Amino acid sequence: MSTGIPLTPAPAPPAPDAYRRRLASLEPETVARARAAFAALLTRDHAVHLDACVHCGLCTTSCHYALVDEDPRNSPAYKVHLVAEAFRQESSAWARMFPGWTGARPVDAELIGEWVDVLFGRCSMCGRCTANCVVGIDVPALVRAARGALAAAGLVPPELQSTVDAAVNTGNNMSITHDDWIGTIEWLEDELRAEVGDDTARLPLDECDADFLYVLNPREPKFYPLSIVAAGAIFHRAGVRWTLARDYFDVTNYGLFSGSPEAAATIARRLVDTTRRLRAKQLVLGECGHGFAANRWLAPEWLGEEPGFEVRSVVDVVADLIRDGRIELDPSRIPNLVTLHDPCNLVRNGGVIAPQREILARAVTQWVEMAPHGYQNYCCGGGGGQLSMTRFARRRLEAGRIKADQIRATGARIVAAPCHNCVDQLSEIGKEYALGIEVKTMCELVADALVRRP
Amino acid sequence: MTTLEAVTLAAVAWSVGALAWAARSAWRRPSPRAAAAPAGTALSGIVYAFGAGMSPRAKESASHHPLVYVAGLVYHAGVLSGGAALVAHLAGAALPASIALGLGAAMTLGATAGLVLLARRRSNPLLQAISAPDDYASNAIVDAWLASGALAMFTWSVTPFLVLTIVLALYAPLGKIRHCVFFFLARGLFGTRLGRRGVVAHLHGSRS
Ligand code: SF4
Ligand code: SF4
Repeated sequence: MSTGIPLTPAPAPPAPDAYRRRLASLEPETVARARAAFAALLTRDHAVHLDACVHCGLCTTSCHYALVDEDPRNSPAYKVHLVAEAFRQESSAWARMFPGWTGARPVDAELIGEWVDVLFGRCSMCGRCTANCVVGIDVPALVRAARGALAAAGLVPPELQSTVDAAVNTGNNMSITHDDWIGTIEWLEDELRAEVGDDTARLPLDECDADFLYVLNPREPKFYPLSIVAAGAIFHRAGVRWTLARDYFDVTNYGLFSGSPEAAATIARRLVDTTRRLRAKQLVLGECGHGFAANRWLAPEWLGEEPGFEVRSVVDVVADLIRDGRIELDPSRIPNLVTLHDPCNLVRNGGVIAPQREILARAVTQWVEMAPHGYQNYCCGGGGGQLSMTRFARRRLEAGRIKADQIRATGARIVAAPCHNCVDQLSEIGKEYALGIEVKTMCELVADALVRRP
Repeated sequence: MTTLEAVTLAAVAWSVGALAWAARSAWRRPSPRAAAAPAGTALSGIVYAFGAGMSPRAKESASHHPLVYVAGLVYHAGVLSGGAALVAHLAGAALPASIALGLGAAMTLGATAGLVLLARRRSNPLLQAISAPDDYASNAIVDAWLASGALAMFTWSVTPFLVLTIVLALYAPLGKIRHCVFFFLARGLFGTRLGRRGVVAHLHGSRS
């Protein structure tokens, strides 16, 4: 059976230095392509927000980048400013006539260089500035529009672009081959059986008419396979009919971060088509913040159609299973103090806020909120493609200090994070700031707390 | 109606028309259809955005910067007072002295707050970096208009007020003052998103 996944690995990204050299001597056609793409990408919402910003700078103290480094370029206001300059040039004859007076500026090589440094390198697209802005300016959407213009001109930082290319070319962002995926699942099925002590336990593949298709972060089969076992154990105990797909299993969508609507749509299309092919009643998204925002909220916009099935976070599904008494938990199995990290794209930008709290209330002995939390949470610093863009890793770790301080203040030994990207960043800042923490996903915690049956 | 009043009216008409045109142009840009099944209502978000979401407790731009927030409120209260005074004058309504004094005081305070905000823009490195001459001019024009309005209320000399109304009305659609319209549209879009995504139901107690 054809899997649809090409077995060729993704092309190697260009060397970082080649990228820097290219930025330093951009060809006029490349600049023209970025300029034209920028004009084409601007929607009603972008135009409204760009004309509504009052350039007050009051969002500065809400951004983790600006809180750790007072360089004006870290302020959300500055990020809006860089996009607004190009917008004025594009949208207003008056502004073009008096650019010095109005602050209009064409998309040129210099501005592109600033966009790369500031909009790729100093923003995790977390939306905390939007939540606290005087007006409610959608800064991540503006950043994405400018990133999209650079994507159209082939100017996305190569490490991020290669992640997108891997997903587009191989079906998942880590270029896991079909054989490796199937082999991993078969091996993990044995692990699952040992874990739950039941030889009938399964990690089903390509089963039609299931209650839901479960998709996950490729980091799981690659680096955290026990995360898959954890989800499998929960679903097995609850007796749900679920399935994984043989072909497209990747919940992530880095097109959201590169800004390319075409790449984002290509990636999103596969999960929609796979859910339809398998006639699953729901598409259940594994623990991935941006994967949730992309597939739950933005995919229908990119694809221009309603999916025709429900799209949910696994966090929501597991909370339901607990509430309905379909799994039994023993919180005494997790005696250490736990705190909860709120992934920006799941919580502030996604609306999934209560279920993870319900889960912790039932799964662990004691847990404590960070301050602030929920809608007002601070980004861990790993979003917006920052984890991929190794060239900006130092800034990412420095910006993560705000989250590190929050965690330390709770005194918790375990950080629950319903997002694998956040898990990676939190683990890194745990080491960087010597927090002495263990970072776990919600499914891992719930699996740890499952009542063992004799 | 004097010639100056007629020109003022024409300038205000231009301003309203040009601002409406700018809003219409922005609104007519392509907008992807929000096809995802909503988790809440847009209305709940819009009510939040223009209601509880406007309180200083709801956003750090206010709670972290109380003086600037108060200055902004006083400034915009002054602008509303100036608008009321202008409408009353052009309608030929004679304002009772107490109301005229109240409006004059609000405009005086508004102009003062505007100058404070202007000084902040001049002295803050971030604001310097993101400001064009238009930012300073927009503020200065409004400050001068408020001062002339206050003068009109206190001395009944309306000529400077009308002249500056013409300047303000002609300039408003061309620069940053456009936010007087776009603020409401942007706030509505912000609320719509919060509402549809079901975030609004969870906005209480996230700071504790
Ligand atoms: S984004 Fe909001 S808070 Fe920041 S400068 Fe613009 S209006 Fe002010
Ligand atoms: S989206 Fe997040 S990282 Fe980007 S400017 Fe806003 S607060 Fe800062």
